[in-house]
Amino acid sequence: MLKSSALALVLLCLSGCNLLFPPEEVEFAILETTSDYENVIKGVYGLLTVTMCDADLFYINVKGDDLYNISADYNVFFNDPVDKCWTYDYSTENYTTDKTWINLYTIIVSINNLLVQYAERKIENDEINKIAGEAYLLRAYCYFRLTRTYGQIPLVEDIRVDYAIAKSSFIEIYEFIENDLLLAQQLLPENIGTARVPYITPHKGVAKSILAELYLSWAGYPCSDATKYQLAATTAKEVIDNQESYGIGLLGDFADIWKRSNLYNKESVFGIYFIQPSAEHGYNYLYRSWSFINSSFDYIDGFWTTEAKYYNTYPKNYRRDITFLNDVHKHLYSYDTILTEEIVYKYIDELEPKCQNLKYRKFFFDTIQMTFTDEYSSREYIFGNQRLDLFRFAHTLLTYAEASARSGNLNAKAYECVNMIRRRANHLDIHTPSEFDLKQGLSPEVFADSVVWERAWELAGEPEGRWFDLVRLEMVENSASLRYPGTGDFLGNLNISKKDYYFSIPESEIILNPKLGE
Amino acid sequence: MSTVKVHGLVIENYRKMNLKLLLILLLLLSSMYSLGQEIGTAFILKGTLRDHATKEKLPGVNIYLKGTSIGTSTDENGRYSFMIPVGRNIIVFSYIGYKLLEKEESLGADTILNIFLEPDERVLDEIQVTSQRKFFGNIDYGREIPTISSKEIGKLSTNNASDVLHARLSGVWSTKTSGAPGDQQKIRIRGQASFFSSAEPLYVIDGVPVPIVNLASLGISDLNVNDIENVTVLKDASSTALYGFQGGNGVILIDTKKATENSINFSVKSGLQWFDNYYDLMNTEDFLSSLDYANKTIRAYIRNIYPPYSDTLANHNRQDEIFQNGFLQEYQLSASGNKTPLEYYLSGNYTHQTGILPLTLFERGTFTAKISRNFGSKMALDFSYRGSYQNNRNNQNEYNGNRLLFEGISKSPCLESIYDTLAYPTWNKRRIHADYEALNGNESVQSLIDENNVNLKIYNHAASLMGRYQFNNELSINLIESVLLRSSKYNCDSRYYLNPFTGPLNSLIFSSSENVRLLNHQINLSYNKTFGPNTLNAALTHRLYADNLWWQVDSMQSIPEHYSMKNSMVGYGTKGSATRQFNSFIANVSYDYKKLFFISAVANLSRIKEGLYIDYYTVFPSISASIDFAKLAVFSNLNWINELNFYSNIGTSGNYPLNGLANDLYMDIPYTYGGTDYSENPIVRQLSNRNLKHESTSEYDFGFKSSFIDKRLTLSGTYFVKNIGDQIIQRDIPYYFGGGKMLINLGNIKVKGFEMNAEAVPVRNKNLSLIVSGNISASSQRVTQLANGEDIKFYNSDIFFPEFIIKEGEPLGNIYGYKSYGKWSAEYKNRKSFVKVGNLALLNNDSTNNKINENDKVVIGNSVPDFNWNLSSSFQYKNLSVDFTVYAVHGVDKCNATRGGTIITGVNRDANGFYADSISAIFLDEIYESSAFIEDASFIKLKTVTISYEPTAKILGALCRFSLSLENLLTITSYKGFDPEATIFTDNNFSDNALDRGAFPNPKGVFATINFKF
Repeated sequence: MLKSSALALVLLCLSGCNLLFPPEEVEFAILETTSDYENVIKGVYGLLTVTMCDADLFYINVKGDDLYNISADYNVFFNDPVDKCWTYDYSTENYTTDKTWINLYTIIVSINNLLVQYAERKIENDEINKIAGEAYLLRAYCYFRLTRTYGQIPLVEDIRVDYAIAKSSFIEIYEFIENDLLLAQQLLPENIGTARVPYITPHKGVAKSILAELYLSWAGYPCSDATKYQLAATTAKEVIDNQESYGIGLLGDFADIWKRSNLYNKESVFGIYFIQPSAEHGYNYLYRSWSFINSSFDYIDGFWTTEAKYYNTYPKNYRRDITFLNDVHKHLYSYDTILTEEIVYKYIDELEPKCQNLKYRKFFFDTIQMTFTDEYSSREYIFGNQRLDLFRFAHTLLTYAEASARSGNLNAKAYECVNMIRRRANHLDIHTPSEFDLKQGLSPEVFADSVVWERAWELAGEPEGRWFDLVRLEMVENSASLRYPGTGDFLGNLNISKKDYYFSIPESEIILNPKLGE
Repeated sequence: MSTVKVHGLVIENYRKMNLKLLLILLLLLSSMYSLGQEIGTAFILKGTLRDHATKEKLPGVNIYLKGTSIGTSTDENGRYSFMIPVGRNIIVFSYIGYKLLEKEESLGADTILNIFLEPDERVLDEIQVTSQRKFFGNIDYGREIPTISSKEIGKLSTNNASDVLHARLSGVWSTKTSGAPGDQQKIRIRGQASFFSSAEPLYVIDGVPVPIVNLASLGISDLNVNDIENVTVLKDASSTALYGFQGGNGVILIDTKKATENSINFSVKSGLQWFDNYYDLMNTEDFLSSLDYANKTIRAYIRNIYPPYSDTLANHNRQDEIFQNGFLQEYQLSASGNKTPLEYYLSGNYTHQTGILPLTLFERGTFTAKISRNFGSKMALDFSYRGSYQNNRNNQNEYNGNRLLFEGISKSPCLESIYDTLAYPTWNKRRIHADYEALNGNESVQSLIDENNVNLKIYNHAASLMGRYQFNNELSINLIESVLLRSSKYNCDSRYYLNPFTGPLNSLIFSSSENVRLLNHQINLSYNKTFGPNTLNAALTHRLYADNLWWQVDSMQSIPEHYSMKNSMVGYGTKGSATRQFNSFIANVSYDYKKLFFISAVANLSRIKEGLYIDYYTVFPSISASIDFAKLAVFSNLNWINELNFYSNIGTSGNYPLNGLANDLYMDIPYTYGGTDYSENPIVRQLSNRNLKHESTSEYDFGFKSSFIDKRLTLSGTYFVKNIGDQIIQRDIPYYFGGGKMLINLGNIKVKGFEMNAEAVPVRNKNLSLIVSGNISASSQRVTQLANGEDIKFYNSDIFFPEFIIKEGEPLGNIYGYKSYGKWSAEYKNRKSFVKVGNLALLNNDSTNNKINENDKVVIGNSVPDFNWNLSSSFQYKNLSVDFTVYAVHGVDKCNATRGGTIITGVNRDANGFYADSISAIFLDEIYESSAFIEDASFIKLKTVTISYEPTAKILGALCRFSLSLENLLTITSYKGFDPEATIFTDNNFSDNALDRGAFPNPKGVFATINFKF
């Protein structure tokens, strides 16, 4: 009896406690170690590359006067949003612009998760602080891009789902972004060399550069708070003054920026690096282009090109030769015929001025001659090792120049900043005065206007380029006159209003939260 | 035990009753008794029973005449008294803990027989450790719960455990939604009670719950039917409360076989399945000439697709190309032995079945081992292991149904595919209706077959250890520890056509895996005390159930061969994990008063932990009471009444499915950044609802169970009302929170219904017996509340069909669409309420304009059945037995999109006129969304007929059984499609039975089995 009772007691003890079956938990949701934080921020970068791969992110840029879609016929047929963007036609649903919203907010949610856990962190080290700084900076950029794409947006900084969140005002949004950037600035490492991943992840200089861009936007539409020009100028000046210690600066040759061998360079302040082709698309297509030259057919494919008037007014200099392919062959792409290699592509001998739509060369500067079929087998070589610059040091120089002029503090440094860009555009030494320099004595308005155009040319086709200048300076209404009349479906007499400054918030979001439709 | 009482016992037991009443009763009962037996041929036998050693009086000893149901039991003083017929009788004295005593007596007058029983040390060896019901704290129901025994299961031709429940019991609606080999029954107990979360019952195999999970939600597909001892269905709240968070949809208890004798069983089964309920499709000649009547535009279009028809054109009957014969082979070998104190049961089974569609296959190997050992008289241990391998090759869980069946049969009879002729039209010039293009266009039947090249491999291991220690007659402790591991791998190597722009042929190579781990621990202390005729049962149980699911997409490649690319799209992986834990403390107590009144109560205190955030306690109480009027003096002397039990249950239970979406999901994007490869980048992709609650079911029912004339007639019925609150719904998360889906609680459903069962045994003797039983179950489910009154729709933007909408105050399963009145005719012309769309007259419900719009959609059907019934009969004459089962479902509507496809492409002979006259209609969405293809899918099916023969003589030294089963031989229905029972899966429950879009029909089959028993 005693024996059996003891046995029963043992059985009871064994089973009564949970020790026998420790509860299984999903561990990787909780960030406990430095490598947990690293993994999450890597995931965020991963999402960012996916986002940048999507042409959708750049649809808003197509509304600018520097870009045109070559395959308008194709796009009309497919009801393609690119074309709708270009023609400001929102009468049909352009649901694919939703992807920008989806992707950027997905990144924000991931970052929020990281930051919420960072606030309650149990460990403390430099690495985690750097990561948190990167997270603040990336969130700031996402919101910055979102608000300039969709206008007023909801600000989310938690991970609890709120189906009834309201849109924030522009001031609130800009203050939120400013706050994030200031926090990032505190947490990020000093310079490009001490960055968490040297030359790749952000440092204090990056945060400050973006902050300058933020203030520049803040001063223009929609907030129109002119006092921010002063802040933009001082912030940009701090970056320029400390460029040596940050490890950033202007490259001497415009072509060097785009060379494959210069994947990591000091001019790229905030760039996204594609080492391998994106997993989702198989290539890193910027502006939906396939960046290869086919040796057997001798053509470049790609849908997005420059707009004709923009190209024709572009100063004829070294920079133009690097920026555009002015000996491009336009292909005929007919969908009426069966897609065979013989008839799809035709060589056309007629170049400018008849050819209105020139390819951007700078994005594919080092393209490799390949046969049509080889191209696919070695896509890693072709599409890997690319960088998409969001902000270059040129941004900062031009921002300083423009902001100084607009804040009533036009000075020699401002002239020097813009002239460095102009000298480089003409393939001259950037520090030696030249005939292409802006001469001292311009009125601030004229000077600022020159800088805006310089900016348009310098940043042609780039994701943080021309379109956002048109918006902040309320120049979108002039789009008709900025473009070549009769191009595509754009008739030049569209009734452009402030609603055309932004995409509409995705319908699916408004269904879930009607407040976003208000 | 004995339920037929003779009046002698009544006198003994109720002697304190009013004498007058007694006298009247005595007269009455004597007269009744005299009808059955001659007066003077029966005598009273009485006496006292004592322990042989201690001479203690023994109360509650069963005494009966061997081979009859005449008997009684001793009172608290150990005395007994009952009437026995004259002549030689074998009287059996049986008492737990004592040796069974059989005494042969020839009686001619009233006799006193005092007996001393000898204690039996061996009795405790017979501990039933595997019987779930007995194990689980002596839970008693005060009545018999319907059970399907292995004998009945043996008569089924199935190798699929879920088929066992089909058309057997009342209150169970089971549908064989797909005839694909290995596919499971969809089982709903007491109505459809859930919008989105799993509505399947909980399977409990030998006391261990089996998780139902996402990808491998194949329930009990790993279970070998031959290993099942019996199946019990727990429907009412008093019993499902025991399972707390998992019991809401009902519980199915399965006990597996254990060694009963020394024997070796071997059986071979082989079978053939075929399908011949074809649509009447046109041949090439008729098809092309029907085009000549068609509208000019469509003719031009079709002429573009098809080359000028000539003698060289093929003439295909697509159904001949698609359907084939399916074959089944099954081998079963089991051995059992009983060498005290060790018992073992070993069983192996191999099944190989090909389906009636090309490439479909179900292959399974199972192995079961069960070893029991008794340690002395007080302790028993039982170890069991179940391992299985399944290879399931059918594409039936595909969301849009089977494309081969839907699109394949709609292909024109005259050509292979567009690409074969390179004559596809200038497709970019005109927008062509997507469905039309898909149906009639660019894929050959062969490419649709190739697309089905998918398989699901499942490996399953379940091991459990059960122990029981009996302290004394009253108190025992029981333990189950079990582990279940299931890993499944889904592979798809499929070639398919994309549109002509992206290239004619693509391959998709995709594989994903899902793993489930389950730990279950139960410990139970049970107390069982008999006070004379009264019994008290009480038990305390602790159950810890933890399951853990993790899945991942292993690889995905899409290779367009057009560009001779090696890897165009590689590796886009997702993975996730979910963990759930139920910790329950269950107390149950029941009291049986003289088998007359019965009352039981359960309190289940359960704690749920899921993932990171969900963690709360709930109590599931229940109470149940019953009274058996047959035990009342008034009835107990009527020996034609065996049972007259009225009962009622009230209680609560829950439903909290293991669903990864309730947990945080993490997406893994392999990519490279900054020169380093990162393969694991967990990021928040989908969020959990931190306030999610279980679906709570509160239920009450009342019913009766009665049996008469030696249990030759049994009638029972139950009426129930269920309220299922906090319905779990998958709701989209706004993208500003990352998108995806989240589970939230909203809405209530009220289910009312009844179930009835009748069983009759008109003949039962040694040579001849006939058992006929029938069940009928009906339920109505109404949505009583939805949060914000918001409607919930099921939609799929890829395909057209009517809408399935949940609305407050409406029955579940409503189908919304435009009401079609058939072809447009002149009589509708001046009536504003009809609108001509194409050439159809559609109801203009709002009458505000002459156009059809969303507001004109009305209820055009309901997909949840009103009632179902089944009838089965078992006939046995000497060595020959014949069994059949009829199953019927009524009041169910279905959208027959499969037929719709053949109509709109014009290949169905029915379509001829429609196609020619109203061709413009074919291009309109409204046609698809109208009631044109809504059909009544009620049916009556002759499910199985089994004939078996057991020769008395041994063949090759073994007892043999030969049986022949026929399946689905006859169906009576007005449904025009392949099979009214077949449906496709949607991601919810309310439209799950509503859409036949290439659903896999149930084939006819014939199976032959030979059993050898050594």
